[in-house]
Amino acid sequence: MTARRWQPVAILGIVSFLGFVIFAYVTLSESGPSPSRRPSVPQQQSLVGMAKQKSSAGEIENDQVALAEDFNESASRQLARVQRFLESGIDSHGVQAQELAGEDFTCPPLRPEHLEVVFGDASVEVARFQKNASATSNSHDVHVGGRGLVAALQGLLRPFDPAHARQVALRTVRVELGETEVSSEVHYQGSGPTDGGHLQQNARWVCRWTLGSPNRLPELRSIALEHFEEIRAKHGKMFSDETAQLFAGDRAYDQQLSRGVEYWRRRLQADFGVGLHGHHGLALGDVNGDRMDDVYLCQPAGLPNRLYLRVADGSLTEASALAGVDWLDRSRSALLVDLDNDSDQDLIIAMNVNVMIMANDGSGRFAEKATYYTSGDPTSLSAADYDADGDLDVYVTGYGSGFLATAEEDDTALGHAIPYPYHDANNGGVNLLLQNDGDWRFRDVTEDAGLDINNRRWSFAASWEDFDRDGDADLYVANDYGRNNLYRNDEGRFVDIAAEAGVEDIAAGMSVSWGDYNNDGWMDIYVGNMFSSAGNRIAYQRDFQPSAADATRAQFQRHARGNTLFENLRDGTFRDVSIDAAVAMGRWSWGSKFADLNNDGREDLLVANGYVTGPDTDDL
Amino acid sequence: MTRLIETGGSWSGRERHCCFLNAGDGPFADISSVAGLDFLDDGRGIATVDWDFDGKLDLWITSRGAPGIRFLYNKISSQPGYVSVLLVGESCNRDAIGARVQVDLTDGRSLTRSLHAGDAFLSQSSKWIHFGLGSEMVARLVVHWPDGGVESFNDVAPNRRYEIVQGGTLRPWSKPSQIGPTIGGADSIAPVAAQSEPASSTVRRVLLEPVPLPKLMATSFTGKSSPLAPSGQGPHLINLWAAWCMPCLGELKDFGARHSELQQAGVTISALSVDGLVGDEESNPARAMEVVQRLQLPFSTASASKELLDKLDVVQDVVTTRKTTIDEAFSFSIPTSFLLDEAGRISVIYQGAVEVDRLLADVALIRSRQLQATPFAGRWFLEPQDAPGILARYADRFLRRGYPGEAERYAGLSAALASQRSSDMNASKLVSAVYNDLGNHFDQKRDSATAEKHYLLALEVSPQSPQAHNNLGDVHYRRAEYEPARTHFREALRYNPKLIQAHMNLAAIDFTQGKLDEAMNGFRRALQIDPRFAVAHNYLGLALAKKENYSEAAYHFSEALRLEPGYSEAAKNLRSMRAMIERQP
Repeated sequence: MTARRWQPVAILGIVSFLGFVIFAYVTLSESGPSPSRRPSVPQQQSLVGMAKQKSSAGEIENDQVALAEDFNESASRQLARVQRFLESGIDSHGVQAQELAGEDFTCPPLRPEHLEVVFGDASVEVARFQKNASATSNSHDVHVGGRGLVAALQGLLRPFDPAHARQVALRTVRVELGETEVSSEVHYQGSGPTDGGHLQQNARWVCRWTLGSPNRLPELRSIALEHFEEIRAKHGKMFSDETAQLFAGDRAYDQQLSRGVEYWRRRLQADFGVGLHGHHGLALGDVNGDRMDDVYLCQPAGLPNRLYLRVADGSLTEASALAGVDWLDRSRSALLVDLDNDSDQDLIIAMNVNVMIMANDGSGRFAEKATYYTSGDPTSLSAADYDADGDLDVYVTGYGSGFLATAEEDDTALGHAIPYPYHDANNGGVNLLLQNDGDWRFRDVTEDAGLDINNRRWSFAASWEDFDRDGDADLYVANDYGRNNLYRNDEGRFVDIAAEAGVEDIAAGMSVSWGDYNNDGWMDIYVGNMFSSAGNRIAYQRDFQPSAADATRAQFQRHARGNTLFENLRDGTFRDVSIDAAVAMGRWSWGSKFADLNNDGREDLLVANGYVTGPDTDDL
Repeated sequence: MTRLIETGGSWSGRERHCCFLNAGDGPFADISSVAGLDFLDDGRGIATVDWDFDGKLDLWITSRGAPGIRFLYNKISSQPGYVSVLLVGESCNRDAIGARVQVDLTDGRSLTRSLHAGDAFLSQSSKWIHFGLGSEMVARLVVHWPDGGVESFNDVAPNRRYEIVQGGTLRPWSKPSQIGPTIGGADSIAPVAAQSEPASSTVRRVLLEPVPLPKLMATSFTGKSSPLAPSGQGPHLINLWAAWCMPCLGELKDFGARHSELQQAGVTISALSVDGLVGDEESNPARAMEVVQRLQLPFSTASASKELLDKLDVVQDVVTTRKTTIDEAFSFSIPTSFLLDEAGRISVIYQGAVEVDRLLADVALIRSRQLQATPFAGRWFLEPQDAPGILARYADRFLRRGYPGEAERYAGLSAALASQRSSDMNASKLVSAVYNDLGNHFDQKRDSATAEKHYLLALEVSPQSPQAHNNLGDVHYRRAEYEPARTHFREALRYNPKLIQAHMNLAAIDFTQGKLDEAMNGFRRALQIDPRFAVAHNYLGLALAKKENYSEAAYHFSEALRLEPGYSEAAKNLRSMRAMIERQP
């Protein structure tokens, strides 16, 4: 094995425009044209700049959008007072909250009297407010004026233990500007200890505000309750963070894994390529044959991947060097699967520009067997026996050539593709299907299998599943900047049926999980996307991209909507039930997955999220 | 957006992970907080596994933030039952990936789970297939093997684990007896807090490959300026400090107190004060001199210059970001130190105070050639090594900061190294671009001979550079050497047919030589590439006017004006065209 160079670094110098000098003698008449030297030609970069802007939050290009964002800023300052009061319950904060409601302010009780218990077991109880029942509420229930607002907020706090502070979040997700007032949709989430347990409240408020002015912040005129839900964990939170105990005394955890990407970016020369995004996953699998899962952690360039063996007593042993898998190359994802059917778990790693395949010798030591280079910027890996020959084949998703690794740089100067068009990009890196031909020979059969169709999307994840129960493995691919793929397996040839099956899900796809959430025996799909408050506020403004067709606007709106749950309708098609199932708002989602967390036989959903958290707190 | 994030901003950051409880019919319930999963880590991968075999799914989550990995232990009441199976394929793939398992419950419900290798995002979960049973029993368990075989088992007990071997074998599996109490202990243990770095922590960066030091001048406190040259005797530490900076003074005292050890190790120290240049505006070199006298520092001290800071900033800039477009100065943090190896090349950069022990250790590593740029041992498949590219970036940065001499030097180093190593095209392209920009630099100073020399260097490094060809053509053009000019413009277009400048320049020669039709074709080609290019409209108009096609000429002048309303020549041209048209019969 020889070390090879890998880091492309290039810019083109500034194209100087030095032509055009000698026109001075051109005369047509005394007052004729007088050409003269002109300054340099505008660079083509302006186009690129536009594309880049789009890829962040859409074009903020007009007054309506700017007004709505201005309003949001002032309203957020007002809502911050509500938040402070709800968190602390302190009277002086109540006085401040009181000031933001006008005399004519009205709202119903923010925690309705009658809640219906919709779920309950030994650990958790869920109670909900059914909105149509509110029609019967009478005037006694209406709170009026600033004091009324405070009373309504106090009502909300009643079930919490007053001795502890709460954690409260208020986010404005929609703003509608009217002539005389503004209406906004606000998501409230509060949580904190209660008698012996832990309580969480979720609500959706429609707030009406005065317009406000440069010298006067908007005032609340009313709050209407659209949704309210209260969850009680009877004996405290369901999960506890045992990371520190599990890794107690482990040097690699203390010095390496406990740190974040920011820490390492500050300590490794940029040329290693520790990217900004921190896209590093993990694989669970039994490396040493004791039927207990071990864990392999992928790491940024310059830091070794780590293999932890689970020892019978429950502790962990770091074994990456011993096992021969302490790769320093940037690794995004890995799989532990038996590739040669010899009853041990082999290892596949998606590295910087290649996919590495290693064989397990049965004792947990790995040897390099094959390497596939790809220009596709590999992200996720997913294995299945697509050709039903008895061994596992591997699908490798690709994002954009060099894009993620260097998104912090000037991509266009580096010659990298920019996703285009933003809402339906098909200019990313290629995905690969590597067919297992035995004896550690793997062959790229992407084209032969028909998977080269729609194969230049910006793919983050894929997962195999026989969704139509015809006996072979089909494939769903989650793509950023646009449509996803559902490749139906027709005897080893694939057809992208995402559109006809209704699962294109045009959005910023990050992840995919299959699971039968309604227990009808057919696998449904959950796709992790991006939910952006700012994106929602902006994309719904009437003037947002006024020149764009309605369909395009709808696509932008859809882009910021959030995650998608597709119900398998058992006839080869799916139905988007995300909104009814209330599982869209997963924030800026990355990993998302079905799992039955409370052992009631129903698949719940998990979402890991958050794009980039910097030291500043002023977030969008 | 990227700029926003780089400067410490967040983008959809500080978000809490979500968890939705399947409440049966009707919507899921958002239980993110009561589930105890609402961390703010910028989460990425998720994998599920019953880690301690207590019948409940635990979670592993990887993150961009700190900690980079979390293990989250499921501690709900163990009252609801479960069953868990591990499949062993015989005629299908051994892991039985793709199998679908159905569990029929005694209440008539039927649960279906399938086995995946790789899902969610960048993740793979356990191959144990987990079923929560609520308070029901298992009436029947059916395995649909991926090769089509179906096997059914009736004697499955709740709260058990089974290994199922294809061919009809169901055998109970027990966890090892000594599963310890390591996890799942008391509630009182606090979760790992999201970590942020203490402001005082020192950042130590070992360079991928040592880099030659730029030419630095220091000024003695008596005002004498002299070059800061490495002694060549041993490693050398250049330390930047200020009289107002308390950590700096602490560091200097430490250096002073252990100076004999440092001397023994052969380390030379140059402590350069930045007083008057950075930070406290009231400060000045005189105050620095007071400090030196008060502390009786036994090593060399002097004042830094603006130029010295600028150049060291370039070094830091290249080391900390691969970006190529940033050229605005950023403020130095003090103290910062640069450790040079025996050959005077920068090897380690410390931001923050350097502990003497750390310094001595690094000196020893330099001497034994064991200094590693990676903080931990490990193996590379593709080792990053792009010294020519990195040197080219130094050259580029120096030029942008106004140090053409340094740019020239580093470009030369890069080109020399690239010819020794089988370097990739990108480094050459960048060096070529730097030479091209150096050419422009001299051209702007009206030194066309030196400009020409640099364009030729650019072409030597990268013979297909369209920019260098274009600019070299331009040099010839202005000397009225039209044929060589044409040759270079054509070469430029050969390598970049869309280089609008070369089209314009070729057309300009034609225009100059009175070949109006050819010139017009050239301007039109430029407009095909960029229809919004006002200059091309203006000159196309001129050519048309010369051919007495006034109305079409007027159209192009007005287009030029429409595209660039402040284009006064086009406005003048348009006025005179209208006058000409009126004068026509």
